[in-house]
Amino acid sequence: MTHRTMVVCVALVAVVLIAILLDIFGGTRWYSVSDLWRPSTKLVGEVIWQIRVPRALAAAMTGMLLALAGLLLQTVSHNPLADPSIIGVNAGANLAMIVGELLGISLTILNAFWLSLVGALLAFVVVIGLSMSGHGFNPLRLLLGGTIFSGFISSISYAVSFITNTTQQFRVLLVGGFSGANYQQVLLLGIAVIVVLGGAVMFQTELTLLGLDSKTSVGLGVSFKRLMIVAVVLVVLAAGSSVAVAGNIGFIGLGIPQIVNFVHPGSFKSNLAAVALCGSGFMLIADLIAKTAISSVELPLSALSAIVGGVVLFIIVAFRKEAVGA
Amino acid sequence: MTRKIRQPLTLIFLVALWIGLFLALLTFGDIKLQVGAVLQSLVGGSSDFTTNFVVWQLRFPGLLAAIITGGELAISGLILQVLTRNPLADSSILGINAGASLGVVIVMFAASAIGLHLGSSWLLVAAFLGAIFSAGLLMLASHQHSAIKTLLAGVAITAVLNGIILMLELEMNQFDFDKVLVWLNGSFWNLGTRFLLVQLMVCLGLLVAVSFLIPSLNGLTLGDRGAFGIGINVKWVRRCLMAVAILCATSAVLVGGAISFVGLMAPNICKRFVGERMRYWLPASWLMGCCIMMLAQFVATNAFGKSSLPVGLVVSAVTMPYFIYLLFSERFD
Repeated sequence: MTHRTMVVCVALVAVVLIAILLDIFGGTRWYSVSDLWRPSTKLVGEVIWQIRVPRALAAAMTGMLLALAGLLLQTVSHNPLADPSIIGVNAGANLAMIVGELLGISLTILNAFWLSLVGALLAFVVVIGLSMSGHGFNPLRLLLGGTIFSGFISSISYAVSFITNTTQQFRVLLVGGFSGANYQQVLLLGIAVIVVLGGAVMFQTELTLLGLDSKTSVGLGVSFKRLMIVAVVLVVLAAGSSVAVAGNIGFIGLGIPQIVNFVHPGSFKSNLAAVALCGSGFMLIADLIAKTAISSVELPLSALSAIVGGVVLFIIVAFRKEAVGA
Repeated sequence: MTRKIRQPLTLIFLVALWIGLFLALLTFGDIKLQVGAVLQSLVGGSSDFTTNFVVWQLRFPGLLAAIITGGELAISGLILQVLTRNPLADSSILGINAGASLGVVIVMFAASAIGLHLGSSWLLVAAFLGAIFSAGLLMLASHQHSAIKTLLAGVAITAVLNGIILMLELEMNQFDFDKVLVWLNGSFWNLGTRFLLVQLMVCLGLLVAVSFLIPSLNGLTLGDRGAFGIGINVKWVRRCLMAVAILCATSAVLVGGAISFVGLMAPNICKRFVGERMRYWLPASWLMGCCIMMLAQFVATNAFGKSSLPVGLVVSAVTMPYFIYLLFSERFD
């Protein structure tokens, strides 16, 4: 790690910490800093420690997981536009949870996690299958086919919850948000973060080499198959656990690595830490905006991130020449 | 079978299917009717109050809405496919439907904020402006003439606009999540007689306009140069056709919300049977679009017992696999 990246990372950690604090104190009612250790009333203390703190932590970790999932996908698919929500992994996790609940599996936090992991894995396998054409893996098909597949899966989710009259019940799942976050979820998210971050760091050299063109990376001794399996496991874990907590929030995995790469063009290894931290920071700020922008209403987080991410996607497609790998 | 026999046969088959679905939609439902009684009521010869009420008041509006939206979306899709020379183009994929939806939602939001009641003609104007806006954005992105990039830009536009729609709608009806779906996925939200009659007039006007443009559409299937060679003012015709395609999509969205993929499917299926001659392709696509929507409406109202589904969800659940299939059978160079 060079001196410069060190400075940038420390600065980003500071930004994330400030964002966590802002997300804890901000909301329909703003609290003062001293409420954290000496709450003015018992209720204020409970709101802060039982609602605000787990929510901020969940947002920070979800953002990190989604951004990492995006970076991993973009690296292995050699395509700057890949993202777990674009190719339908998030939607698959979502559908699995809705179907599971309707089949009578009560959505306890643990059940929600494994259901959503299974859904994410199934959707991922289907999408990879779709993007295999006669000439091997085709990244463009992965994108377009994945987007449509994602829309297909989410309209089935809507339809299922519509028929069974449960749109209110699944609202958080369908539009995204952290309003129900608690410490058990934070714990599970923490495990996911450790595994995903650890996996990414462990394989960072090989993943960086994979970013080179395929002949060079094979020549340098990278096993594509093994890395692909590692990437699939990490992406499914990251996307699945984020959906289990926050519902279907898209486009962070697309936008954050893009923006980081725009500011500081570099390899997988050199951008890993920055992407993870920026993901957390972005998610915290988005959550804060969702809570505070309009009083008494919580904005749908999936819409917020779709607007930001969609604009990024549009700019890349419209104004960058070699962006899509076509 | 030679093409000469196949083309008229396909048309005849589609007309039969159209009539069959038309009657089926009026006949089946919670209250079962006899086909004969329905026919009698349709020509005005029935004196049975229940039959008349069910046919004309309960079922006919939904049927009319299905015919208007299905036909318009199919025509709009066909024109866009010819104009962009891209068989995967469609007003919903290119983001035009989302733009029209957003226009309607913004105007409704503004009107409810200042407590005004707006007529449907204002909504039409708003939807049209929204559609033009997203079409303009799309043109901005498609200057590189890469078919797949245009499609991706459309997907991006749709994502952004749908995000804005979701926000405004949840702001408007916080506890009525189902209404949100109208503008994201499509559903017949207004089945009032007057509204539908106005829309029917618009639809007929557009159909007449399209029928005048058939020769130039035929010419454009040869490509811009070929069309120029046989004496078509390509620039002007393209603009006219684009306007008609956007108007068709706009008017369909106003009736049915953002219904996706009908405009993609209908022309593509028909092309396999009748080829690219507009004389057959255009009417066949119109019939096919109507049939798809009527079928979806039939499934939406009958298949799930008491709870009826928004028709747009049925359409997207049925048509998206076909789009994926098309995507993978098509070559992109």
